Amino acid sequence: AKATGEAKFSIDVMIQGMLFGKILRSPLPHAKISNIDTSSAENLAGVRGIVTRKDIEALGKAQGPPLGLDGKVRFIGDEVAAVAAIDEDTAEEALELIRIDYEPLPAVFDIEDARKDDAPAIHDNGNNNIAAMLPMRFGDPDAAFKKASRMYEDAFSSGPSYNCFLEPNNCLAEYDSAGRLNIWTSTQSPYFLRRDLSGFLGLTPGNVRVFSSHIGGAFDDRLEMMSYHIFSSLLSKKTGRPVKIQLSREEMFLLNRSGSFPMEMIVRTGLKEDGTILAQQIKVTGDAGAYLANQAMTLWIIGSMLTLPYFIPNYLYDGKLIYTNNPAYGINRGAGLLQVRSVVEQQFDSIEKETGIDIRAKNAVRSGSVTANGFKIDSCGFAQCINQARDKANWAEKVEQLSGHHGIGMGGSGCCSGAKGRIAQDPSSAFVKVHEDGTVTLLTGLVDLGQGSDTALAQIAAEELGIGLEDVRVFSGDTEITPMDLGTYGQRGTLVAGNAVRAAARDAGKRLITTAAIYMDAAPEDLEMKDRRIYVKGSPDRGISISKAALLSIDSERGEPVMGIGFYNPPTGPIDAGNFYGNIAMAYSFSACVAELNVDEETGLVDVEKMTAAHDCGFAINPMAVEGQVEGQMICGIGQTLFEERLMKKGRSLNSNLLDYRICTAADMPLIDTIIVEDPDPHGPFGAKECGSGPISTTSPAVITGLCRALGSRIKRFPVTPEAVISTIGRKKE
Amino acid sequence: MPEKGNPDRRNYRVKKQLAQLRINGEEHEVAIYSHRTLLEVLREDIGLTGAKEGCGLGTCGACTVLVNGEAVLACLTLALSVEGKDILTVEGLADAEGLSPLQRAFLDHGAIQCGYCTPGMLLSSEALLSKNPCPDDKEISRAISGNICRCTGYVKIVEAVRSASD
Repeated sequence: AKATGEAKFSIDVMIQGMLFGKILRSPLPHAKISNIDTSSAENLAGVRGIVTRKDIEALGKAQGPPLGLDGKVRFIGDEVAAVAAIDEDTAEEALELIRIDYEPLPAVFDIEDARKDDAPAIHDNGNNNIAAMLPMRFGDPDAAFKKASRMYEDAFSSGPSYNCFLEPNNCLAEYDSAGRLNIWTSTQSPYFLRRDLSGFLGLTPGNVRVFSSHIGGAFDDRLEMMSYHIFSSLLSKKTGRPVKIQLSREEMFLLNRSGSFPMEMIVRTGLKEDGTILAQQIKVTGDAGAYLANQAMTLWIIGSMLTLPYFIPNYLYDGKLIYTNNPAYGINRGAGLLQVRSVVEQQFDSIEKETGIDIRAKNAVRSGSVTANGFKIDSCGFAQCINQARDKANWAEKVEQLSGHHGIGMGGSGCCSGAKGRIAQDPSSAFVKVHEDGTVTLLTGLVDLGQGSDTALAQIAAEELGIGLEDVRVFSGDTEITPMDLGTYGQRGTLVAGNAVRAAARDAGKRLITTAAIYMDAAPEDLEMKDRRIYVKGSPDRGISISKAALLSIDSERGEPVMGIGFYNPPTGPIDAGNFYGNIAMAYSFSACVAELNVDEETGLVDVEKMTAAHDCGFAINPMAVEGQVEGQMICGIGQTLFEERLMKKGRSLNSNLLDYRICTAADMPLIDTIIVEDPDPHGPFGAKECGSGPISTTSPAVITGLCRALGSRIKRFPVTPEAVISTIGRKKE
Repeated sequence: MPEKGNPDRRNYRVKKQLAQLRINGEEHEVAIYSHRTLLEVLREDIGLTGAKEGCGLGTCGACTVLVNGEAVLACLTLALSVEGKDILTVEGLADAEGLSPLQRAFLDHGAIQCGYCTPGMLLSSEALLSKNPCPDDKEISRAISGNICRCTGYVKIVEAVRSASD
C-alpha cells in the first residue's frame, strides 16, 4: 500500500466537517503571561473555538507535556493558545488577533550560565537549574584508576541536532457524541499515549481510542504525549467537531523535542600496561532546554549502554541535565551514544598507536560476560563483527598505505534488545485468528515505524504455523482492537513482541493440531505443521490441510474457532531503581564498522567513500530488512557526524528548515557493505536480536577516527563541519 | 461586532475560481482560491493523499508529482497554474494490469521503509527513466537528491531504480 499511495498516515486522515487547528507560540524565551485576550480572534468569521493555557491549567494537572502549567513561557515557541477554524488560513489569521501581555523574565541559554548562583531560576526548583542527575558507580573505579599504568582523559563537546523524521507531527482528535475521544496520530506507543492522554483529560482509558497505523518515521522521538495532542482534543471538545493540528516543519524545529541536546563530555580511561581496560569514567552534562521529558531517558541510555561493547570492570558515570531557555530538546537516532563513543574510540586509537596493542579485540565483550552494570551477555558476535568488518574492508593493508588526506577508522557498539530499568515491566501481547481458508489475522500492539516489524512478526507467525508469509495479515496500532504492547522503542520489537507473537501462533497451532489429531486418529505429539498442512512427522501424505483443520474446529460440536493468544514479558532483572544495576534485557546485539574517507583540504568537505558495517543480530528473520536498517543508520550517522547541527542564538533557531539544516541526500551516499553476523540468542525468536539502533553508534566513531588519521589531529567537537575541518587543518599548520 | 481580520490575508480569499485539473487521466472540476497549492488541492479537495507534505517549502521532495512528465514540487506549485496540463500522482502509477515496474522494483528491493518519501521518490525516478532509460548510479542519485529519505540510506532505492531501468 505504501507503493501505491493507498497507505494512510495519520496526516492523511480527513473527516467530514473537520476543523483546522493552529498553535500560538511565545516570541519570548522567558516570561510571565499576565493576560490573554482572545475576544477579537473569537469574533473572526470562520473561527470555531479557542483554547488557551488557562484551559489546560484548569484541568488541574501538576505535570504535563513540555508546557508550563503555571502561567509562564520558557522558550521561544512555547505554546500559549490554539485556534480551531474552518481552514488553516483563518486559524493562522486568528492567531494574529490574540493579544498576550507578557512580563519578560531574564533568560539563560547555555549550561554554564544556567548553573551560576545568580542565574534566573527556570523552574523555581532552587537547584541551580539542575534538571536531572544520574550517577552510576560500579566496581571500585577509584582503586582501579590508581592501579592503571596508562591513563587517558579527553574533553569533547557536541551541538544540538534535529531528528527530522519526514512526516510532520500531527493529531486529529474527535470527541464523539458519547463523549469518547478518537485520536489519529503518529506515535511509537499508542498504549502510552492512551494512558497519558486519558489521565490528563480525566477520561477512563477505555474512552480514548488511539489509531496509529502508518507512521512516517519516529527514531525515538514520538514516544510521548505532546501538547498538540492536548490542544486538538480540547478544541474538539469545545467545538463539537473533529480538529486536526499539523505542525509545520519550522514548528517542528522550534518546539519539537526533536534531536539531541548539546553536551559537554569528559572521558577518562585507565588501562593496564598490556592494554586491558581497568576503569572508565564518563561525565556528561547536557542542556535539557526548557522542559524535561525524554532527555532523562537519553541520559540513562548513554550511561547504561557505554558499558558495551568493551569490557569495563570498573565504571563511573556522572550524567547531568541543566535547564536553559532553549527549546525542550529530545532525542535523535542513536540517543547521544554516537557522540560519546567518538571520544572513547579516539582514545583507543591513541593507545593503539603508542602500544601497538589491538585494544578493541583485546577488550571485546564475549558471550558469558557480565558487564560492570550487570548486563548478562548470552550471545555475542562482537569479535566476529570486528574481524569481518576489518577483513572485508581490507583494513590492515589500507591502514599501512594511507597517504594525503585519506582516512580510515573504525567503531564498535553494543545495544539492548528491549529494556527494563526505567520501566518495571515490559509486556507485549498478540492475537492470532486462523480463518477457514487457512489464512491468518495477526493483531499486535507493536506499531511499525518503517523498520518492517509488521513483516517480521508475520514471518514469525507463518514459520510457527507452517504457512506462507502471504497468508498472514497484520493489524497493528489501534488501542481498541490490538492487544496491549508498550510500543516501538528500546529495540524491543523483534525480541519482545516477536516472542509474544510466537506464543500466540503456538497457541493457535495447538488447537489446530488437537483438531487434526482427533480427525486423523493420531497422537497430537506425532503431528507437525508445514507447507500449510498438518501431517504425521515424516509422512507428508498422511495429513490434512490447515484450512480443513480450522473448518473442522468450527464445524464441530464445540464450535470452537481457532484463536491463539500470546504474551511475553522478558524475565530480566531485578534492576536497582537508583543506579539501574541489573540485566535490563534478554539479549544484546553488537556492531562494528569501518569508514573510509577523503578530506578536501581547500573546502573542508569530507567525502565518506565506503562504510563496511557488520552487525550481529542473532538471526536475520528478514535479511533484506536488516540490511535496510544498517544502511539507513550508516547514512543517518554520517549526517549527524559531519553536518547536522541546529544553530541557536539566544534561544532562537537560526536554521529551521531542511536547506539550512543539512541532512544526507542520495548524493552523499557512500558505498555500504553490510555484513550480517549471526550468533543466535537463546532468548530471541529463532535466535533474533535487535537491529534498529545498534549499528548507528558505530558510525561516528568510525568516521571521526578516520578523520583523525586523515588530518593527523584529534577531533574535539561534534559535528565535524567543513569549518571545523578547515580550522583543524589550519591549527596543525601553525 | 464581527472582526474584519487582516486585509492582506483576506484579499486573496475573495472569490473561488473554477478550475479544470486533469489528474491521472481523469478530469476534475474544483472551486479553489487562487493561492491554493497543487498539493493542498490534491490532498484536501480531490482526496488524493498519496503526495505528502514534509516541509511545505520545497526542501524535502515528498510532494513531488509529474506535470506534463516533469517532476515538480506540488507544495510550491499553484493549482491554477497547472490547469489543462497532465498531472500524474502516485495513485496513477499502477494500472489495471497491476503495479508499475518501478513500484514493483521498490517493493522487491526493500526500498520502502516508513514509506513517507516513497510517492515522491517514485515520481522523481519515473521522470528520470522517461528521459534517460538507462541511467548510471550517479545519475540516479542526482535525480533523487531532492527527495529526502530518513530511513533507508538510499542504497536500496538506487538499486530499485537501477533494476527498473532498461
